[in-house]
Amino acid sequence: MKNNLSKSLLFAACASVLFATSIHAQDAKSTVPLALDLPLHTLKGTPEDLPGGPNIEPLSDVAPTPVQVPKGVKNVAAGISATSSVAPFLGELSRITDGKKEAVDDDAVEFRKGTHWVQVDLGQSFAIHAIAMWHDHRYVQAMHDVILQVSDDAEFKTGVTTLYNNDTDNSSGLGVGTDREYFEMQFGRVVAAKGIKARYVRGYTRGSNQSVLNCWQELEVYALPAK
Amino acid sequence: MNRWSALALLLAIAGALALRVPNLATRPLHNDEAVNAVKVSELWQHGRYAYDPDEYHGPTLHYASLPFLWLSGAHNSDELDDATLRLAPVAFGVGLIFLLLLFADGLGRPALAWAAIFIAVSPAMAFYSRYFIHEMLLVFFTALTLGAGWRYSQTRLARWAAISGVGLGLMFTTKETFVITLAAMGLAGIVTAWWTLPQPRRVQSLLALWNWKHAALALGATFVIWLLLFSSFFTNFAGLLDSALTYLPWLKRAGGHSPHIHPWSFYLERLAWFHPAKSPVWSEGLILVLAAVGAVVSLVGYCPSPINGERAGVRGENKFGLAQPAVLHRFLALYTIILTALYSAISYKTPWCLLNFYLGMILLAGIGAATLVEFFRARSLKAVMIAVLLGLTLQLSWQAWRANFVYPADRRNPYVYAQTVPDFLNLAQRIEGIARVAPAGYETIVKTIAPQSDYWPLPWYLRRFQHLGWYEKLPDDPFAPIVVVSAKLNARLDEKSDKKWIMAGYSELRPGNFFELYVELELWKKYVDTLPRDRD
Repeated sequence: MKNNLSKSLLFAACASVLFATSIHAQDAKSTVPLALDLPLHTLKGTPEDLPGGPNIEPLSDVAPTPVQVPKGVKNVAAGISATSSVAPFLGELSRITDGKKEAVDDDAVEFRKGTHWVQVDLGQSFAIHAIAMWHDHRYVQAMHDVILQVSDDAEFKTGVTTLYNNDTDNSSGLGVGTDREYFEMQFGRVVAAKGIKARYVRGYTRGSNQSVLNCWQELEVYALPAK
Repeated sequence: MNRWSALALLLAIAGALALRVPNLATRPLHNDEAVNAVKVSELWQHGRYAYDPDEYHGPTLHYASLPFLWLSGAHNSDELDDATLRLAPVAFGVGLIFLLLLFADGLGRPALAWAAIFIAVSPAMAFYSRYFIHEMLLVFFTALTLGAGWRYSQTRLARWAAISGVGLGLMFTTKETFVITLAAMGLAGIVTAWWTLPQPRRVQSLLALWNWKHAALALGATFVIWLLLFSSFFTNFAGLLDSALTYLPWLKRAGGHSPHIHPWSFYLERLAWFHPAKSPVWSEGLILVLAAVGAVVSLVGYCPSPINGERAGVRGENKFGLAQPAVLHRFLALYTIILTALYSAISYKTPWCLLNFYLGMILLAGIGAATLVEFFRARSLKAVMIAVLLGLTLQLSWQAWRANFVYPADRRNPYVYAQTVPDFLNLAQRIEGIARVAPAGYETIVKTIAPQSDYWPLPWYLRRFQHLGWYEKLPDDPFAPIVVVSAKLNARLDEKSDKKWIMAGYSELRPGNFFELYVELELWKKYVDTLPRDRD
């Protein structure tokens, strides 16, 4: 019996050593860089010279799925003159809430480079269900650092809720955003706000892939009176 | 050459350098430049080059670039910058001015001086001297062939025949379209001879000029260049046959099987009057008008005097019944008209091709300017004419400066074509920045996905990475630490990965052609942590 136990122990010891060795071998194997068979680039001749100008190569002519909102919501920002972090050098701030948002110069308001915002004071707190924004859609481009915030604090120091943020590298210093950049098209960008209560709405941008300048065309706030 | 002509030449060279050398890396590489960069790197680092008859033109650009790469101090392509790549076309663009000296006794000092100045400050000439493509080399070798041919006609020395043959060989090994220039030279030569030689002994006169030994020497020189370069110095003999087979695909393109089909006026409108919306006006009308003047006086056989009298026997009539310079002028006029017509007639057009007939126009513009100054007898009126021409030349210089330093990659520049936009450099720099924080560094896998391989010049800008994958459609497994995807594919890798990958933004490759950058989220956060807070 002792011999059997010894044999069993010896067997177990050997098995353990073998097992440990195989684990060590596996570990050693898993640390080897995976060699992938990646396809090489293809040399290419002179590409086609795409036409310039507004709305070239729109990615999609299909309107995005509409955001669901309660019945009776209205654009409570209509006609309310916006304020901004810097004065525009082209156009008036009133254009941002005048209901006109065609892809023409007369409906655009341009600001200098850097991170800048426009803000609308709704006059009172509203239950905001959707915010629609149009930046510069005179040309197909993607604005950088599109950040949309609401608050009851006019200075946006307290009680700030960020509804949209595609500042993925935090270059505007308001936090790393995980929302996507998108192309400025005639559809604008509609952000669902889910009835959040706020009086002030602020939208930031920081230039685009085409220009360091900022440009707004329209900001609409669809809301119901706060109960 | 007198001191005024020498001064004009020196000023032209100084102006040419000022417009060609500074800020060579400002404009991102064009697709074609990046392809050439990859090919020249292969030659430089591994000694490998094989002529491809389907695309990418001849070998001279790559071999001519080697001295600049050797002198750059870079040890490999990772250390090369865009400016170094562009030094070869700069050198040939400036060198073109020196070649005008071959025509000194034919053009005359005043015309030579004006032509030198126009080459220096022409926006088209300056702009494409900063392009790492074959065109400026082709124009240089064309001028060498013509200039050496003219020198031979004046001296009957064998060495000029040989140099002309070398020039022709270098044209052949630079770009397939040299045949168009050759056809124009041949036709212009025949018409000039027929027009100029006296009746009834035209053929006999022509045969009297012919020297079989010199012709064989010239052709032999062409042959040697062809043999050396198309065989990649005897390492790729298939290149010799390919130098002929290449005309099959190129004839198809010339016939319309290409995205570069443009109307006959494509080149001339860029030179004469280019004014898209919200753009300044561009015009090299000064050169075009002077070229027209030069062409008219050349065709009627008028020579502005004084023609350079440094060599005895150049003035006066020769046995052809005309002063020899007038024969050159007539040839240049016919050559330029024929070449302009040929290039305008061919449907396949890319704007840099205009340089080929524009060289002739500039030479004629030199003649035209000299003629206009000569037209006025009174010195005061001559001075006024010179002042007016210099004033207009200054305006042309300002356009050249604008083209190269204000609108170098902007479609409002008439010479910009399918150009990579500066925003794309931001993408390349961002990917480099990510590599610096990635555990695997430049071993990090990067996948690039774009239909029809439309991702150039990214292969050049990502050359430091060791594991690059290039796809024309979304692969079964599109994920990698860094993924660059054409926006047309709507990849949505962030949504597909439950936000384990972040879509870090759009970058524009060319107008309307966008790419999305996807980065594995944790890697992206590491990268963001390295970015400075205040980035205004």
